[in-house]
Amino acid sequence: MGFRSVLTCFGTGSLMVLAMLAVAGPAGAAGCNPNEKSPGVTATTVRLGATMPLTGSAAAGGLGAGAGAKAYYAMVNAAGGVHGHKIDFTLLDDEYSPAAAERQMRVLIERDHVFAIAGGEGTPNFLAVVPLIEREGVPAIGPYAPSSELGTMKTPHVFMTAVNYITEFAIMTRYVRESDYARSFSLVGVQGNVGDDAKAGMEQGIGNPSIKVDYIPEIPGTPDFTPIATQLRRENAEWTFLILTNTDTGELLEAMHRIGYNPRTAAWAGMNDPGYIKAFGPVSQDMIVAEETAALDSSDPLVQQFVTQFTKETERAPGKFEELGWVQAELVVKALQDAKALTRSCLMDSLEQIRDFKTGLLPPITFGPDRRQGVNAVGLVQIKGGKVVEIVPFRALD
Amino acid sequence: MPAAALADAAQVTLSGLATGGLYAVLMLGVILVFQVSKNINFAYGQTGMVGVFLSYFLYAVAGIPVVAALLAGLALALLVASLTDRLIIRNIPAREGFDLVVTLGELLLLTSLAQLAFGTNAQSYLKLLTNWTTVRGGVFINANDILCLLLGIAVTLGGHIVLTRTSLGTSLRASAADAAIAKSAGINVLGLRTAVWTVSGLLAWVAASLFAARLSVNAFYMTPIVINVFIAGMIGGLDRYWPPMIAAFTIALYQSWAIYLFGEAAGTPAVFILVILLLSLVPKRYLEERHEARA
Amino acid sequence: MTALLKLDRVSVRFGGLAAVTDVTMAFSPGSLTGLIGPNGAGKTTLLNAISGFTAITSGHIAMNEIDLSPLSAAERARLGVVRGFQTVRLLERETVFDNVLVGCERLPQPGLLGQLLALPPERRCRARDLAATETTLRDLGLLPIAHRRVDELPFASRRLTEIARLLVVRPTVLLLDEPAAGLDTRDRRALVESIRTYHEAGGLTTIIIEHDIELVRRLCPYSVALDMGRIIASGSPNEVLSEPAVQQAYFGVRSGA
Repeated sequence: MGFRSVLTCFGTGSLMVLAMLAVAGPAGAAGCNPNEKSPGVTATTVRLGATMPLTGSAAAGGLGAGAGAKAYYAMVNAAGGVHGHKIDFTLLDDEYSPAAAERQMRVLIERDHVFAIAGGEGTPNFLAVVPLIEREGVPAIGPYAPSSELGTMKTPHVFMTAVNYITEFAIMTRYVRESDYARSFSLVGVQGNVGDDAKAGMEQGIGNPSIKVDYIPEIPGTPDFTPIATQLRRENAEWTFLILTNTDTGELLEAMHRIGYNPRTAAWAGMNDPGYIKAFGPVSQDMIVAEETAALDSSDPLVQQFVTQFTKETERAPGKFEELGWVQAELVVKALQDAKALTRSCLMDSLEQIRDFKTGLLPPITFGPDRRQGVNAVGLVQIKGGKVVEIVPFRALD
Repeated sequence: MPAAALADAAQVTLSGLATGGLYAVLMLGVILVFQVSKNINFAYGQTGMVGVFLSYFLYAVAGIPVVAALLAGLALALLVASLTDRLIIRNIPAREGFDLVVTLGELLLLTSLAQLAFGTNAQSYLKLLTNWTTVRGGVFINANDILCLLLGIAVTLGGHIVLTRTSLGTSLRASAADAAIAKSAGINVLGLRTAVWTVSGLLAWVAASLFAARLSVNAFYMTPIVINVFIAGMIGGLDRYWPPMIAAFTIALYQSWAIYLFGEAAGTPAVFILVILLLSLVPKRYLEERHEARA
Repeated sequence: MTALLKLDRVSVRFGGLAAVTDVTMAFSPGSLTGLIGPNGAGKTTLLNAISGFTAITSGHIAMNEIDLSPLSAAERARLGVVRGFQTVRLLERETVFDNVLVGCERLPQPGLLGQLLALPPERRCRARDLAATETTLRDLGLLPIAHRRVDELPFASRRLTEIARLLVVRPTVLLLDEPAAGLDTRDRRALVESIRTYHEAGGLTTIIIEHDIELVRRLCPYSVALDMGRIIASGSPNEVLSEPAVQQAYFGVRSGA
């Protein structure tokens, strides 16, 4: 091959690469293209989907959030839908398992051709589907999957409203340090990103490398918590932080109580749940719990509006998980309504334009062209008797 | 060994043995059903769960007196167990593996029904002595732990005595070994089989009740427990008596120590490492004597 | 003499196959009958029908005027109809003693609670069963090996153990299916003596299926020949064996050929 031919090939090849880059552009910043062909949209419907744990030890979260989302979409559809399109929402069970989540997400994307992923519940299960979502370019809106791996431009299609556990636990730990002058901490957390993020947050909140966090990873569904409780008793920390399923949290606390170990406790927002407090309230007294969504007995008119509307739709009172699902759906509908057209790129553009969106149920949500973490604040409550009492309103980590 | 470390060791051991005692209660039901009717019932744990959940619902929500609620739960567990045999097992083709598939389906069905009927939240159950504790040498001795341990021992010894010293035991062993011989000796094999399934329901309910007191009651709590019991059965051999019963205690104790020493994430892998080691090291002759290859 | 066991036009069909057709027989109390015939004649099927292991298609079977048809095999066993099997069937991982003890289950046993609590009735029944087992084992010369596992024993001892199980509680009707199969000459002789001794002592009504014609001649005063599911001859063994139909069925030989 002559020199001119090689140069031609090289030049031609380079032009092709440049052309591809020009078309693709930097990830997530393509802008709204109303003519783009997007799946999941017909003349009368927009198909959305989500996977959540509907069975297994984390089912309380998925079933609750699913019910909240479905109620919201039913309300919107009854009022005519979004731009004349009814929302067709499919919710599949991922069993809180990464393998099952991936399998079900494939069903939603490859078989059902959903327009967007609307919500989600649980971190390890959602993290497992992120590569697929990013590869297929499907917008995923408001999944409850607190993780430091999300909410950045590394995963531009995922728009997060859940505060990651680093921030949540940093805020909680800082409060405990400031209010209780605590000097020894232990953490029991679901093995993997969830536990690792909580530990990183605690270390950030402590802000003193000489104070260590004794971290015990856990796997959901343990039949006997006494060995873990005995380990904790051996370390004898003043405070034990917990990020487990509700069931495992309660059972661990009961095991700790049985062997005479009763430290102060703090836990992720999942303990702010009437079902948990009813079942395990006696061993959870004075537990500090993060508050990611507004208290349902808040006097905020937006909160009261949610309670009224949900009760009307479902004929039952909402819990925290239902609140979560509802606000996920509310964000999705807002993005759909504000989108210039029902294409995925326009939906992404619409989400990026959201500034200070007040739902009353979450802290105000703000995204941007380079911002995927919409919320960075949590409140703190404390379990007293059979209910929770707010001790710190929504606040960000300074 | 420092006193604190000794106290911790005793604490973990006591808890492990208590769990093992309940595994032994469950194991007796598993091996009776396997030996007499040659089946493995994957829905075994859920049989106990539905009874316990019903009891919870009756006393905590419907306000029924506790004893009546417990009896109703027991009745449900017995009914589910005997219906599993009469309606499901006896009507499926006698092909290997069918019982596993069908009872797995029953497990999923009972789990879903429990969720629908009783909700998805975990519920705190009756205390059943979990709130009685005494401290000796830094060890918190919980009355429920002692109860579970003694129950496991009693069931193990009692099962052995029944099987070897009573007419019922003779009938059970004959039916387990060869139904034709049993029939020709005047033993009502079908009736005995129904009784065995019903007794398995009783054992499942007893274990499920005590586990619920130690943990909580929800639609799924018995599943990981029964898996461990089946693993112990596989190690000991479901067509034997003493090896699987001892394996039930051992596996619980072993797992407790594995978790205590290496963390909770080591609990499940430790069990499977044990299984692999045993299958590799145990003489083949011992394994070949056993006929429950499926287990 | 009134027959103890009566078969009246008994037929057994398996789909299109007629295994037993219109068999009518009567067995008097204490009779010892040999049942002979070529392979596939329906002998074992007839034994299965009497013992309840196979349902009859038509006809009646009665013992002491009790219609056995609605009764299960276990119920007939408790009434005293006991049977051995063509191949030796034992509880392989049990001892000789426990194998024979199983035979005592035909007797009334106390209730579950009594057994669990070892109440006096249970203790008496248990003692009765253990004593009967020991006696039977002694009578049949099995006591020295009573606590050995049966899967470790030679064939003759295994066969004798099975027969001991049938005899530990005196049966009303004893059905034996080729009990001598697989035994050498000496063991056959011993078996014959054991059966004869028990039969004479207990007055058992006994039906024996056998291919060993000499054994039938020595042991059975009466015999019945079956072929293709039907009775082709009955009488003393010599009478039956000299019947042309029997010779044709067994040996393919026509009379005078």
